[in-house]
Amino acid sequence: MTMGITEGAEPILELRHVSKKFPAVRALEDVSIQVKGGEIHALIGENGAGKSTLMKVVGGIHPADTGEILLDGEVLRLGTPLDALRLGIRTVHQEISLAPNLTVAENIFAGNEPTRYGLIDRRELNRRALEVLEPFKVKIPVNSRVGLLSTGLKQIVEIARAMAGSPRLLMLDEPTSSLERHETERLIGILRGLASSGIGILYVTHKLKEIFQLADRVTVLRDGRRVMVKPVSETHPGEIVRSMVGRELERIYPPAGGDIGGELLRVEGITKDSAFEDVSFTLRRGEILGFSGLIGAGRTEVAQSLFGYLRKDAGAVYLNGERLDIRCPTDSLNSGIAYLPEERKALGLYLGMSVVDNFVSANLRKYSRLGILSGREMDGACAGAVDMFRIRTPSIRQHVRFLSGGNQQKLLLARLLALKPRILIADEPTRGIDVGAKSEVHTMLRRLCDEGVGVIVISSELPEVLGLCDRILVFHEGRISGEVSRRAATEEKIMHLATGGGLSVEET
Amino acid sequence: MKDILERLQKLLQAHREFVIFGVLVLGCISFYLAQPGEQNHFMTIGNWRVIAVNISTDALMVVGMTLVIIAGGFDLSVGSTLALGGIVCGKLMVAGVAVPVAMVAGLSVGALIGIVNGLIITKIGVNPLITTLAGMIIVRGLAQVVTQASPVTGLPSSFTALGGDMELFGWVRIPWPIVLMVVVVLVADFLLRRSRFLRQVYYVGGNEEAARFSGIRVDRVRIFTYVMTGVLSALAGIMSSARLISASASAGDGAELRVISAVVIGGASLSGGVGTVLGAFLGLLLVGVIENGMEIMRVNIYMKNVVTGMILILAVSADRLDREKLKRFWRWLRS
Ligand SMILES: Nc1ncnc2c1ncn2[C@@H]1O[C@H](COP(=O)(O)OP(=O)(O)OP(=O)(O)O)[C@@H](O)[C@H]1O
Ligand SMILES: [Mg+2]
Repeated sequence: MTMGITEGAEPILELRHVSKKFPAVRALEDVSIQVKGGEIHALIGENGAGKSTLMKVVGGIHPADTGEILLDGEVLRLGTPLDALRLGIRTVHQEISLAPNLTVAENIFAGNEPTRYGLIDRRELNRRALEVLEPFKVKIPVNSRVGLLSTGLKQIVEIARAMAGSPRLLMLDEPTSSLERHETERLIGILRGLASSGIGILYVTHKLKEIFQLADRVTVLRDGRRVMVKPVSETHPGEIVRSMVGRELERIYPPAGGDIGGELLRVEGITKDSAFEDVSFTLRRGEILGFSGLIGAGRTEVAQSLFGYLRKDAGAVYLNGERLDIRCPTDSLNSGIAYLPEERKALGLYLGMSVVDNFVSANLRKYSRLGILSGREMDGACAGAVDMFRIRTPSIRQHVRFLSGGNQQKLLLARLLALKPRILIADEPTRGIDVGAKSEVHTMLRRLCDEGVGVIVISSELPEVLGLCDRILVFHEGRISGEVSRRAATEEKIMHLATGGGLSVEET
Repeated sequence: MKDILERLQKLLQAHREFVIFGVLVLGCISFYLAQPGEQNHFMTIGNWRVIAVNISTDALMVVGMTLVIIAGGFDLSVGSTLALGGIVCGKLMVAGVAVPVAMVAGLSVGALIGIVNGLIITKIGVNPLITTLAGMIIVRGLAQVVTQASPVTGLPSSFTALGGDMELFGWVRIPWPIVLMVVVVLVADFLLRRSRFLRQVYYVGGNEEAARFSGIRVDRVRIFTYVMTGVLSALAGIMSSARLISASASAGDGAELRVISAVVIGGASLSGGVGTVLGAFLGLLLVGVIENGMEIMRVNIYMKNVVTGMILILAVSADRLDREKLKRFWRWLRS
């Protein structure tokens, strides 16, 4: 915990009885919250509880219906996001919102570029970008296009952009959802430093551990209402979870599956230039295989090559002993290999289309006869999935754009599971999903295994990998640097391998 | 109250067809009231026949263009394809080729143009606007080369009958172009709503990468939309040469912009993923009716373009507005 903030510190941000309604959804109801100078204030709640909406109201994206927002004691009248920016309110949104065709440096200083004689001064721009990124201690070429970066690095650029504006109030919406342990810890250090310089920080996360590492106080939202606010030192994870979901919740990983069957998938020496090299492994029926490693270690690239989205340069893949010739995602879906992408907005969702349309998109064949789709069957199947996954939406006709991040993620999972795949490759399957729903997802993955499906899970969250997987492959700079079985796995061992510690640790 | 308004607005935005239909009815009523009673010329069967025949060729292209635009594409080459399709069909018939064979040849020219457009756009990755702009110029040029700038005439009467009327029970007479238009629009609208293959067009336009991840063969769908516009444009060319009893290299000049406007008025978005055939057709009908009404009222004929342009911008702006934007706009006005 940080130095306890002084009792009398003036609030930088204060919300008084703020309510916000969307058509058919009460997103915020009578919410009051104070963020003091030097304070890191955590905000937690189930998917759809209203966390992101709260940030958007403060950030000038949505006007509040009723209630007051005060910054440094003065009532804010926010017309547009620009007004909020001018007052020093910076937000790191839940979804990455960088311009993929601009460079890292251009993104960080977008709209605020250093100029010389009215022209953008590139040298100065790049120098300052390096300066802003320095504390993250990651290798990011400031000159490269953002579109080429991995999701984790994009997230870092996004955070850096918010910090570059020397904010008065910094709001971060699940900033660590694509970061692994090292980056997360570094970010925590950076945020503490910022807070001690007197600014206010509002921090949304689904990871309880981060709250206890970082925050001074925590506010819990449920169904748009504030149900708890306490100094972190006076509460514990159990209490937070209970007030989040309104009941006791046992947070345990599902027990390892009974019997793991024979070989399902065999990958031999697949290689893609400047992404990964000589990757070989097997996946058995009923097994959950974890991919661990640092950001940029090539895990996502391997998965996307298996799925046929990226082209591999060498190597072979066998399904049930037969060599697969997969040229595009269509082929791999036809052979029963499904992939849940990490970047749900860019690669997964049709934001402008409805929940049903999104749900059936990968499975049109199932809902059609003689090439004609049956609206009733699609609606029925989708309504079933919405129930089963407890996707919070006013109707299945709602545009997916208006779903909260975690609910979008659940929808993507529902879509893939409806395919009844033989192999499921899930890239960060619980990204942005709340604590309760997370263990439901884990149980669901385990149940799939019991039906003989082989599952590959890519996760930056070590506890998730350790708790869920039967076997873990650790990647380092595009190669498999080791394999660890469930029983032998520890965080230390995996980190050792992930940072290039060599030597295969296979003890069973 | 606020809630009801909000719901109504949502409903109207979701069902663009209703709105256009409403505007259409209003337009018709006002044209009737402008000249009511005995001398009214607007609300006569004869006049509506004229309107329908006038839009019948554009309507075929509108159907194809709707597909292209929903898939996130664009096609400027429709007008030129119309000309070349009609010319190839006409030349062959004049040379003595059987009528059905010549028609199939004409349609094939359209398909070929579509395939080339589609391949360049998907496989080489040239922007659709540029690709089809080039296509529009080249195809128009080809049409001029083939005809040496003199129209193809002397078409066989068994062919030109297609531009005439269909007789039913000996007393109902409906022009063939209208019959074809109605059939094509209805079938296409149904298929686009319900067929599995065409549903993919929405996904491709909605988010191309997500469509790939959903296992949709994106390039194939894209190319298909260009082939459909090509074929339908050629069909439009064949029908219009049957009606005009000649095929000329300047046929369909400027059609592309009319067609695109109609599709957009009908609710499609140039960023893809939204739109319906029925909406686009109603958009075309709306423009056709207003132009016709203004002609009857002897408004300066050049006003036509001014009005069409205004409908376009109004329709699109109405789409973009929501309550929060209105509020903001209002605040900005006051400050
Ligand atoms: N623009 C909008 N239009 C309609 N409904 C919306 C809109 N934005 C959010 N909602 C709804 O408001 C509720 C709160 O959403 P919000 O995004 O704030 O949740 P969240 O707490 O951030 O959830 P998550 O943990 O999943 O990110 C959800 O039910 C969501 O569907
Ligand atoms: Mg959120």
